[in-house]
Amino acid sequence: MKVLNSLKIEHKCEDCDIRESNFFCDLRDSNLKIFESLKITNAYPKGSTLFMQGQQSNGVYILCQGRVKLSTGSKDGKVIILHIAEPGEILGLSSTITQSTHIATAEVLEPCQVNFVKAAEFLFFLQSNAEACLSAVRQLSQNYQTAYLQICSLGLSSSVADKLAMLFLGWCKASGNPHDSEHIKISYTHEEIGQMIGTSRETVTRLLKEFKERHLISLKGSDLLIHDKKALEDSIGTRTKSR
Amino acid sequence: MKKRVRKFEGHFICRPFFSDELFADLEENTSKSLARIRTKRRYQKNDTVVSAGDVPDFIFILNSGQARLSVTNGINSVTNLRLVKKDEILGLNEVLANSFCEMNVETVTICEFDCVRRRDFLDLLSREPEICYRLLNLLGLRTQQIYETFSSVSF
Repeated sequence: MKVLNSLKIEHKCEDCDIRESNFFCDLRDSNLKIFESLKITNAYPKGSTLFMQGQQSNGVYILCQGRVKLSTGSKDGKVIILHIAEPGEILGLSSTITQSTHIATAEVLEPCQVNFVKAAEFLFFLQSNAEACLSAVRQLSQNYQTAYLQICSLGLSSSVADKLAMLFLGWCKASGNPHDSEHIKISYTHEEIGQMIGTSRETVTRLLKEFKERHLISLKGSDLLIHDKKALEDSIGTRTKSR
Repeated sequence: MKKRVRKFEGHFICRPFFSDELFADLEENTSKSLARIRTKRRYQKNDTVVSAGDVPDFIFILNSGQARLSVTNGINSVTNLRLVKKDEILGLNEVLANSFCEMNVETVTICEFDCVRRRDFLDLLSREPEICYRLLNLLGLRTQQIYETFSSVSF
C-alpha cells in the first residue's frame, strides 16, 4: 500500500476495506480476481482531468476514493455540472458501452484513486460475467434516472429559485435523514452551485439571501440548515420566473 | 399560485423501453427462463396498475388494451400524460434502481399485461449474461441519448 499525500492507495481489490455493497467492484471472490487482473490503478491530484467531453472513450474509470465532477459545456462556454461522482461509481460507462465519445468532462475535485479498465477488456468481462454486468446495469439505471430527473427539474422547471430548491431537496434525499430539518455541509462554491442549476454565481448568491429572508434556510459559512423540507418543497412553483 | 406540472414534461423526452428491444430473439435457454417467470394479468377498465410513489414489485409489459400514464397534481387534480404503447415496458428503471414510480398507470379499457416479479427479474439478469448484456447496451444507449437531450434543453 502506497500513500500519496493524504490518500492511501489500495492496489489489491481483495484487501480493500473501502469497498461497500453498492460499489461496482463488490463482486464474488472469483470475479473480483478477474477484475483485478484487468484494472490499472492510478492516483490523481485535485484539478486533474480524467477525460474530456467529445473525446473518444477508451475505457472506464472506477472511482475508489475521492470525488469527481462531471460537467458538460456549450460552444459559448457555459458549463453545467451533471453530477458529482462518489466512490464506487463507474465513470465513462455509457460512452464505453456505446463505443462513442464522452458526454461529459470528468475533473478531480479531491485527490482520487481510480481503477482504469480498457474498453474492450471491460466489455468482454461484462459479456461473460452476469454478476458484474448486473452491477453495471444497476449503475447505468441510476445514471439514467438521475439524467431524467435533471431534465425534469433543471431543463424544464420554471424558475431558477425552483431549481435551487430542487437541488437542495435532492441533497436532503441523498442523505436519507427522515427529519423535517436538514443540516448539510456544502463543499461547493456559489459558482459551482450555479453550474449545477444552469445559472450565474450572482443569482445563486441572491437566491440564497432570498431563501434566508423567507426563513427557508440558514447559512453560516459552509453550513446549510434547511429548516423545513416540506416548506421548501411547497415553495416550488410559487415564484415567478427569474434568470 | 397553482403549482405547475411542467416537471413531468421530461417524460415525453425519454423514449420508453419496449419488450422487443430487450426480449426478442433470445437464445432458447434464456427464452425459456424468461417464460417461466412471466405471468399474465388482466385488469378491468379504470383499474390502477401502478400508483405514483410506489416502489414497483413487478415490471409490466402491455399486451393488449389501452392504459394511460398520469400524474397526481395536488389533492384532486390528475393530469393525463399519454397512452402506454403496446409492448412498452413499465417500471423497468424503477425495479433496477429500486426507486419509486413518478407516475400512475391506469387502464382505459380492459388490459392484459405480462408481469415479471422484481426478484425474479433481477435473479434472471444475474444468471443470464445474454439478457443482462442486452439490457446494459440498451441502457447505455438511452443514457447517452438522454444526456444529449439534456444538453440541448439546458443550453
